[in-house]
Amino acid sequence: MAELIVLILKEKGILTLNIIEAKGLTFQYEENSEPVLKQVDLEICEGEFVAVLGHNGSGKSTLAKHLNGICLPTSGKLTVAGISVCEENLSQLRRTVGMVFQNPDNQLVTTIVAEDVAFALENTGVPYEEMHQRVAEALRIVGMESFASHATHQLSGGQKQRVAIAGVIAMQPRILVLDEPTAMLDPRGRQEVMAVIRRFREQGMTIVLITHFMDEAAQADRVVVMDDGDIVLDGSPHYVFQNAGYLWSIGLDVPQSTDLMFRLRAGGLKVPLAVLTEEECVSVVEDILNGKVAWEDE
Amino acid sequence: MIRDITLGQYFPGHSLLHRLDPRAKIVMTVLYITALFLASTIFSYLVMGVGTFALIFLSGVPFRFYFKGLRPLLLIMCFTGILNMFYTNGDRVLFSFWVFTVTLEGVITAIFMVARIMLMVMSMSILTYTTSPLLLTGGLERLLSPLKKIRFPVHEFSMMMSTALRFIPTLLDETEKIMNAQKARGADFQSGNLFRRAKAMLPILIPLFVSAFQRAEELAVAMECRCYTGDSKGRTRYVRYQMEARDYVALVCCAALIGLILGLNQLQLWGHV
Amino acid sequence: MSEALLRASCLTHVYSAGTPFEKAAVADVSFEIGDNEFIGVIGHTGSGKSTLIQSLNGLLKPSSGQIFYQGQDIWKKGFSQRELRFRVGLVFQYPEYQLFEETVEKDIAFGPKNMGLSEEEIRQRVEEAMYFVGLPDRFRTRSPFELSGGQKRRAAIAGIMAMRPKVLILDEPTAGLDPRGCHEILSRIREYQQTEKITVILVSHSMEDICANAQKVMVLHQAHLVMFAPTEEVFARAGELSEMGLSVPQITRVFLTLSQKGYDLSSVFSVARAADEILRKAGRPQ
Repeated sequence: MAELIVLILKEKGILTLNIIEAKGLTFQYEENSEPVLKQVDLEICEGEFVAVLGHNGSGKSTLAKHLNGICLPTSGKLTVAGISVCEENLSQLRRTVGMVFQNPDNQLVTTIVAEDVAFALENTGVPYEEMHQRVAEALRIVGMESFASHATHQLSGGQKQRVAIAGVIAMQPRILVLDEPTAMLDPRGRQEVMAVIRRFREQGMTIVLITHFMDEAAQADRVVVMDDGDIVLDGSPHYVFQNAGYLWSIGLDVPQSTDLMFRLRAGGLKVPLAVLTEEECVSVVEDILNGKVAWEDE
Repeated sequence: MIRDITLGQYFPGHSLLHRLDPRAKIVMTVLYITALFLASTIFSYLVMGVGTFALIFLSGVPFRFYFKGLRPLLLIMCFTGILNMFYTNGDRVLFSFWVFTVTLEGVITAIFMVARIMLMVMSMSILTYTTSPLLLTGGLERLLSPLKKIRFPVHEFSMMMSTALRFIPTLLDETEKIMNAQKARGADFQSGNLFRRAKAMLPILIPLFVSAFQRAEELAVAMECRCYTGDSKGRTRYVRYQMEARDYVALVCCAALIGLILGLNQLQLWGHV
Repeated sequence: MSEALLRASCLTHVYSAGTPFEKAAVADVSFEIGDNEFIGVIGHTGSGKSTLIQSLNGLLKPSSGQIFYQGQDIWKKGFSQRELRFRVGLVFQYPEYQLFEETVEKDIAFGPKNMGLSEEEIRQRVEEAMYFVGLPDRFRTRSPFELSGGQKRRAAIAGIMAMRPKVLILDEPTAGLDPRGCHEILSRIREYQQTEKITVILVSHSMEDICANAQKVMVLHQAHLVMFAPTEEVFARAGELSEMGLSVPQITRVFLTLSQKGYDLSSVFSVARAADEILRKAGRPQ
C-alpha cells in the first residue's frame, strides 16, 4: 500500500525521490591526513542535470569518484539509486553509474570504435544480438555511427570523447557522471560533447558534470560549488552566478554577461544581476539603450 | 622516424584477408613462417616471395606501408646479411681481403637470410594490418584456450597484448612530442659517442615512463568503471568467431605451401646451401 | 632600416608531399614580428598553428619560403638551429610532460646547461625563472613529480624562461587549468614580457585570454594567415571570425548582435570596455 502511494506521488511529480543522497560524506586518503571531502550533504533528484564547480583541489573530482565507488567514503553515508556505496555493491554500482573521464586517450580500451563501445557489454555478459543493437544505438546517440569501424586513434579529441560517452551509455546506466570531460578539448570538441550532454538531459537522464568552464555550468539545471572539501553554494545557475564576488574570491569566474552586469551596477545602473546567457544580456543592454533601466540615485 | 614503426597497426578494410577468421589467419601465419624457414633453394624463395606479394595485393593495404614496416629493421637486416656473407664457408671464392673471404655461398646465404627476415616481417604485417587487435587477441585467446587447463592466464595474456597494441600509436605520438619539447630546450640526440647518446635519451624515457604509468592507472580505473573484472564467467563477445569454407580453403592452401616448398627444396639446380 | 626580430617570408609547409595524402599545413605565410611585442595566435585545431610555431624555432624545416631571425635565414648553411632554439623559446602544450629531473632546480637548469653556461650563471637564471613563474624557493630541491598540476606547468615554463629567450612562444599554456590557475600563469607571463622586454607569442583557443593580453593578433584559417593586426582591429571583424567558426568572446557576440539590430555600438572584446561603452551610451547622469 505504502509503495503504491509513493508510486502515485512520483507519477504526479509531487514526490521526487533522490537518486543521489550523501550525508556527512567524508573522505581522506590516509588516516590523519587532511580530509578531501568534509561532511558533504548533497541530494540530487532523478533527471536533474547538476554541474559541480570548484577550483583544482576543491574536492569536486573526489566527490564524482565516490558516485560509482572508485573512492569509498571514509565516514558518512552515500546512497546512489538506492544502492549504498561500499565494497560489496561495486559491480551493481558500476552498471548504474556511468563514468566519463578527462583524458579521452586513457579510457578507450580497444582500437576500433564499435569494439570499444561494446567493452562494458562484453563484461556484463550481454547476448550477441542485443549487444550489437545497443552498440549501434549508443553510437547513434553520440552521432558517431558512421565511425563504427574506424580506428580510435585517428579520431579528434571531441570524437574520442563522444566514443567514450557511447561506451558508458551502452551500459544503460541511470546516472551519467562526467569528470571534466571537455578540459582537454578544443572549442569545437567542447561544443560537440556539450551537445551530446544536452541530448541526454532531454531524455531525462540524471547527469553530474564536473567542470571549470562557467559557460558549461550555466547550461545545467543546478550548480553546486565546492571549496575546500565542502559545498559552499548550491542552486540554479542564475542564483549561483549572482554571487560573483564570492566566486571570484574562491578562484572561480562568472560568465562574461554576468560580469558585465556587475560592472554596470557598479557604474550606477539598476540592472538585474542574474544574467547568464548571451540572449539575456542582449535584452538587458537593449533596455538600457532604450532608456528603460533606471540609475541608482534617481 | 618513430612513426615508421607500423608493425601492430591495423588498416580497416573489407578485403578477403580482412574477412578471414582470425584463428585461421593466425594458424596460416604460423604455417607460412614455417614454410619460410623450410625454404632453402632459390625456387622455394621465389615461390614465397611471389606468394607474399600476392597476399599483400589481396590485403588491399598499400605496398608502401609494408616497406615502411621494414625500415626500422634495416639495421638488423644489414647486420644479418653482412654476418652471413663473411661467416659462411664455401669453395667458390669471389674475392678476399685481409682476413675476410667472400664466397658465392656466403653471398647467397646472406641474400636468403635477408629475404627470410623481410618476408617474415611482411607476412606478420599482413596479419596485423588486416586483423583488428581485438580480433587478433580474441583469436589468439581462443586458440590458446586449451592452455587454461594448465592454469596459463590466457585471457590476461591476450588483454595485455591488445592493450599494448592499442597504446602503441598513442605512445609513439607522445615520444615525438617529448623529443621535440626537449629539443626546444637544446637537447642533442645526434652527437657524441654511444654512451653520451644513451644518456641523452633519459630526458625522453623518464617522461615517457611517467606518462605511461599514469595512462595505465587511468585506463585501469576506466576499465573497472566499465565493469571489467577479468576473465569472469558469462563474459560475452562483440565479435563472433565462425570458421567458414574460405577459412578452411585458406588453411589447406597454406599446408599445401609447406609441401610445395619441401618439394622445391629437392630441386638442387643452383645455389643449394 | 633595422631588421625585424622574426620574419617569415612565403612560408609553406607541406606534409606527405608527393602522396595522395599531401596537405599544406601552412601555405604562403609572411609576417614580421618586432621586439617586445605580445602577439596572440588564434585558429582552429588543424589551421596550421602548431606547424607555424615549430617552424619559428627551427624544429620543422619549411617546404619552401624562409624564416629570418634578426635578418638571418635560419636554414642558411652554417646557421645553428640549436642556438636558435635558445633564442626562440617554445613551450609546448601540456609542458609538464617534459619534466624528467630529480629536482625542480635541475629540471629548469636543463636548457641553460645545454647552452654551456657556468654553474653560477645557471643558478642565477634558475632563481630568476622561478621568481617569474611564481614558484617559491622551497620548491627548488623538490621532485617535480611531487608538484600539483599547476605548479608542474609553471616549472616547465620556467625551464624555457631560464634560457632567457628573445622570443617566448607558448602553445595553450592554460589548457586544463582552473580559472585561477589560468589567470595567474597569464599575468606572470605578461609581467615577464614587460620586465624583460621580450616578445611573447601566445597560442590559445581562449579568445578571452588573447583579448586580455595580446597587442596584436594573428588569425590562421585553413593554413593561411588571414589576419594579422592590432587586437582591436581583429575583433572589430568579429563577424568574419564567427564565420570562420572561431568562438569570439561572449561579450563580443552580444555587441555584434546589438549592432546587427541597429544599435550604434563600437566593437568590444573586453568586459571592462563593454561596460564603459554602455554607460557612455546610456548617458551617465552628472
